[in-house]
This record gives sequence, C-alpha cells and structure tokens, in this order.
Amino acid sequence: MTRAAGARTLLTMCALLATVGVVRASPISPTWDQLDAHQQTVLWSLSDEWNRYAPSNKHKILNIVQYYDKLSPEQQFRVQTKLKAWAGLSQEQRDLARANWKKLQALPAAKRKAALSRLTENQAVDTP
Amino acid sequence: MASRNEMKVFLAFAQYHAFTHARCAGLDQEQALSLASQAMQQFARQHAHALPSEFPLFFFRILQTAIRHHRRLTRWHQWLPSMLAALIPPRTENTELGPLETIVVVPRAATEAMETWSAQPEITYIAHAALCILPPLQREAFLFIAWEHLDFATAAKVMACSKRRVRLNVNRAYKTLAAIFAQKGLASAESSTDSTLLPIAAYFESILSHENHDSDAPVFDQLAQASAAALSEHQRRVAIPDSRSEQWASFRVHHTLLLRRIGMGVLTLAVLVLALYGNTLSPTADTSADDIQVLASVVPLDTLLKDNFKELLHD
Repeated sequence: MTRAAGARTLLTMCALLATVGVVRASPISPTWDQLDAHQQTVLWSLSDEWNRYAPSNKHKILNIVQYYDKLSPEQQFRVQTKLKAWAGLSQEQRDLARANWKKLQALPAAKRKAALSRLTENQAVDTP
Repeated sequence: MASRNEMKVFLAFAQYHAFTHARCAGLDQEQALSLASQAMQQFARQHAHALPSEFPLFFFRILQTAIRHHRRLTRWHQWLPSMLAALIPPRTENTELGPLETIVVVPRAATEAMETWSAQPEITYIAHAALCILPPLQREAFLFIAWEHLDFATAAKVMACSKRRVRLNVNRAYKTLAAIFAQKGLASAESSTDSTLLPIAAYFESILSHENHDSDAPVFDQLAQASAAALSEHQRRVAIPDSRSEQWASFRVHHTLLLRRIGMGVLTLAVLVLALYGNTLSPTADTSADDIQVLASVVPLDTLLKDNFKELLHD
C-alpha cells in the first residue's frame, strides 16, 4: 500500500470513527434542561425527579422516547400514566415485568385474550 | 547462511553507502555516522542467518526505517518552533540567494573524462544539494535505483511501498535533477525531457563514490570500527540457532504490504462492525422496544410485577 493510499484509508477510518462518535455520543447524564422539546413533552411526568435519576436510568428512559410517536393515542396515554412508576423500578423489577409480559405474549391468541380480560378485571376490582 | 568473509565484504560496502544515504537525508556528519553504525549493528543482530543475496534488502530496509524514524523525530522537534515562528511575521524578507543559485560550474569539455570533471568540489556540492532538496521518497527511490542498482521489486520492499510508487518517484526525481543540472549547465536542456535520463545516473555514480570525499576521511575510520563491531556481533549471532524473531523480521520485510493491507482491512472491518452493531455488542442490551410495549399494554405494572403472574395467566 502506498503512503497516499494509506493516508486515504486512515482518513476514511477517522471520518468513520468521527461519525460513529457523533452518532453515539450523548451527554453522560443529561439534565432536564438538556433534553430537547420532544423528550420533555414525552417525559413531562418525570420533570420533578429527572435530575435525581442515575445516568444509566436516564438513558434507558430516553431510549423509550424514540418509539413513543409510533403508538396510538390510547397507548401513549397508558405510557404517560405508567412512566413515573416505571422510572422508580429497579433493574430486577423491570426484568420481571418484561419477562411476564413476554409470557403473556407467548400465549395463543384465544388464551391471551382471556388472560388479558382477567388481568384487567383484577385491576378494576383492585382500583377503587 | 553467509560466511564471515561474505559479511565482511558486504559491511565494507554498506558502511559508506549507509553514511551517504543518511547525509543525503539531511543528517549531519555525527548523526549520519551514528545512524550508519546502528544500522550495521542491527543488521548483524537481526539477520545473521540471511542469505548473502538478501543482504542489500535487509540492510537498506533497516537503514531506511532508521532514517525515516529520525526524520519523524526531527519534524516533531521542529514543529513547535515552526508553529511559533508562523505566528510572528518576519520583519524583512530574506532575499539572499542560496549556494545552489550562486555556484557557477564550468561545463565539461568533450575531451575531459567524467571522473576528473565530476571530482570538482562545485559539482559534488551541486549534486548533493540537488539530492537534498528532493522530497524524501524521490531521493530514496533515486538512490536505491540509480546508485544501489536495486531492482524495482527489491526497492519497493526496502521502501515498504508498491513497485509503481517506486517507479513514479524515480521518474520524478530524474526529472527534477535533470532540470537542476540543465539549469547549472551540467547537462543539456534536452536531457531534462528525456525519459531515461541516463547521464544523471552516471553523474551520481561518479560523484557519490567515496574517493571524491577527502574531507570525510576521519569518518571512514569510525565507520570501519563500527563495521568491525557489527562483524563480531554477526559472528556471535551466527553461533546461535535461527530464532523465531529473526524469521519474523525476515517475513516482515518480504511481506510488508500484505501485512499492512491485512491490518488495515481488519481495522476497517472492526470500525464498521462497531458502527453498525455497536448497540448490540454493548454489555447492556437495548431493551427499550420491549419496555415501550410493557408500558403501552393494558396490563397494569403492579400485575406484571407479581411473582405468581404465571398462575394468574392460567386461572
């Protein structure tokens, strides 16, 4: 490889690395004010406690925001109501919730429907 | 494996050539001497079991690497002062002419022998000055091809580049030198457009021969001492069986380009994989797609967190 070709390859790799860096780079622990308008709108229920969250927790919650717009208004509402409780869960609790939700999804359609109605009935009984 | 005598003959040839290469690369006498001695030592140490036919390749590669390393260090040491100098504008412009512009040479008479004519100090000076102003790659390529008579493949291995690049640099060097020589009246103007430019090589053949450098005589004694030291090192190493490091050094010289291409390929692949699959490779996998589904589902969080959730599903 000639020196010029080597330099070209190096430059390309630097450009690639820089792009990767720019794409992947984000503040280690963004404060509420550092969030953009869209993020603040989605996460408004967390505005009071946001700055107290651990950086890893912040990033996990921020990752959710990208999917928010694809949801229906009803789903968005449900997300908004659960978000605060979700943010307060430990990693183990989140893993448990995720695993249980997957078990529900794994059921055949008819059984899933029955289970869903049972689980939401329980909720209606539980909530005064 | 080379005998003691073969190594002695080669070192006798190499010592002055190494010194001249270093001098042409802009090193002062002391630095060039030190560099040539180190190159001979390293050569004797690293390639004690090499075949005599491979001596020039291995030796010039070591020399080349040392010169490049020295150049890099010098450039680095000059970087800061030059940056500072660039910030301060010069008060007066230097209009003095350099020696290359002021030296006048009497053209060679038709009857005069090349050896006697080229022994003039002015011509030697111009030849060296012209070599020194060449870009490093051109100078190296020119010296290896025109003076050392290496073939393009060997020169490419020595310079760690492709044969095409060596050929290109040699042609450019010939053209630049021919232009300088024509301007100084050492060669006819037509020769600067001649693609072979053999007269230029002939000049250097004669000029770079060490008989013309009486002023460097004390240096030869020191070079001879360094050569003797390298020879004894060679004898010591020959007694030890061919080591893996020696085989690796030899392989590296022969396959520099291949190794470099593999290295660059692996590095590029790693960067691409990191760019494309960085998220997947990270220790904490991204679960946000599942999280949003959990949050958007009609099932309350409290229910999803129950330990007996499986039983609730089948009630």
